Amino acid sequence: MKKLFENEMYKIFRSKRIYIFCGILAFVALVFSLIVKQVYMAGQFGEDITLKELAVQYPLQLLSTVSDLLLPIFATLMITFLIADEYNEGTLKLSILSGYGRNRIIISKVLAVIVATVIMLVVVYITSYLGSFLAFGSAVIQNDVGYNIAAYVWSLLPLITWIVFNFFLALYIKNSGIIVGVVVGITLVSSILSSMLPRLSSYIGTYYLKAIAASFSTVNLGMAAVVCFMYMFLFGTVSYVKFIKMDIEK
Amino acid sequence: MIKTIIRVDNLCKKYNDKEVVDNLSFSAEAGDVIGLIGPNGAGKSTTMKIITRLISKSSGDIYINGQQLDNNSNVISRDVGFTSESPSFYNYLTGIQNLKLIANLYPNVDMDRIRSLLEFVGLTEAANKKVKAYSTGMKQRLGLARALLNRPKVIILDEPTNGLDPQGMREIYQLISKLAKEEKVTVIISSHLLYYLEKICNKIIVINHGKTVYYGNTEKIYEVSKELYKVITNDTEKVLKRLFEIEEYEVITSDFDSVTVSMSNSTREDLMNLLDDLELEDQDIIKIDPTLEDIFLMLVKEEPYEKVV
Repeated sequence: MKKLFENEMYKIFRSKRIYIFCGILAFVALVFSLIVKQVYMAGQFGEDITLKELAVQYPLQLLSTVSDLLLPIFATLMITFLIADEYNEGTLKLSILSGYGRNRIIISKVLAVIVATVIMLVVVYITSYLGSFLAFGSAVIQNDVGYNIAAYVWSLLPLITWIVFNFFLALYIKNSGIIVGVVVGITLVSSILSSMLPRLSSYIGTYYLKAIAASFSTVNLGMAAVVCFMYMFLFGTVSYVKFIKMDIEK
Repeated sequence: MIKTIIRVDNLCKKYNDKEVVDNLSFSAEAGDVIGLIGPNGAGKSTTMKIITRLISKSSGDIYINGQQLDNNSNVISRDVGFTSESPSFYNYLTGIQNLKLIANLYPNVDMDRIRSLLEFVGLTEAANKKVKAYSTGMKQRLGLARALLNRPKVIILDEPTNGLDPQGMREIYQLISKLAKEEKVTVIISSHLLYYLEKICNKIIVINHGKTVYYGNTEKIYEVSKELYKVITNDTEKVLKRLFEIEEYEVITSDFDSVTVSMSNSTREDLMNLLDDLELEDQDIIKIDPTLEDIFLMLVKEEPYEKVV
């Protein structure tokens, strides 16, 4: 399976998608820090927060900004690239023809997207420090690095759940454009549901995309883990069975 | 001892209630070249995709090198190479990168093998160009190279000359023939170019609507044919109209300047007499040896030719 995984990573890097996504995230990190500073200078934050506090909080603030839309969309685009686009272009069958079991093929694709998402998270983390330094000076180095890293690591959990869910969608829809439309709709609807029904929000998987980043100190991580693993198991099992039995006509 | 490399027993594939492959059985030894022919939608591509595990079978057994495909699918698949009628590639990669990506999945396929295959198919100079810049013919060649990467015992070619010019077609069929004769690779090939299949295949399977119409050695297929005559004339419409009136004469095919007829009990003179009063200019009737195409048309014909025209 190592060779399958190597091939999937090779494709992600050779297609240049990951460079574009990381570039956008880095750009957002830098520009957003300047925007936050402008808002602060205009007195919009009130007197309750200082520039130093903004600097220290910036890495988590940025994570909460990108974790519920940009990062999931980028993960979706990588999944559609490795499943839906490959199916339509006829290259999905190449690994099967090479004699590898379909179970290994699907696991290697999921792993590749997870690794790519980790890379994007690392880029967000590093550029958040750069952005904070650019906008607010060196105060950012006074933040709790361990706490921030823990938040970033935990934010991977709902993202992995999202990735597995998107594999499920890609195997059934097989059209990149429609999949992106569907996931944008899902994030919107789930965001509205979470707001309207706060008691049910903790059972909605997408809730944790933002909640962990935005409220790391107060969110129930145990509940988050249970809900995310349940969704992963459900959509992962269905996707696995679907892919194993799927006729690859193209 | 002759070893059977591939054996297919009573293969069936159903979509809803429709049998697209209906009890297909055949076998091949090392170096055999089997032509799989049939009209569009007959089940040829479906059969090939079942053997390569791209689609599931409804029933039946497939054995590669004596091992049943279901039980050891992953290992056995490495003995099978496949190229489809429109081979797919990663268009953002070059030709050699595409091959390296697949070679990475096989043990013991190194750069020397890749380079030698590129030379074998005549793509050494284009190897470093992105596949999106390749012509259809170049993609077919690259597809053949990719199918041969792991030195398969069986290679399955679905319309391998699709989109090639006549010279390209001839070269591909020469390559296939060379593979079978020199490297004892078993080839299963589907193509509408029956002229070439006639020359390189030692076995033929004719299928229609999923059913096997003929399976056997290429020489023996000619025995199913009745006597064939070609009526050469500028006025084929008149000839066709006259022949449609008499059941004994079966029109196989017609061109703008000739009509091919088969008949069991009549002679050339009978045919001449039948057409005599039509007063055709420059008419000639010659007995012809049936080609594979003629026999194929006879075997798969469902409706009388008059209904088709």
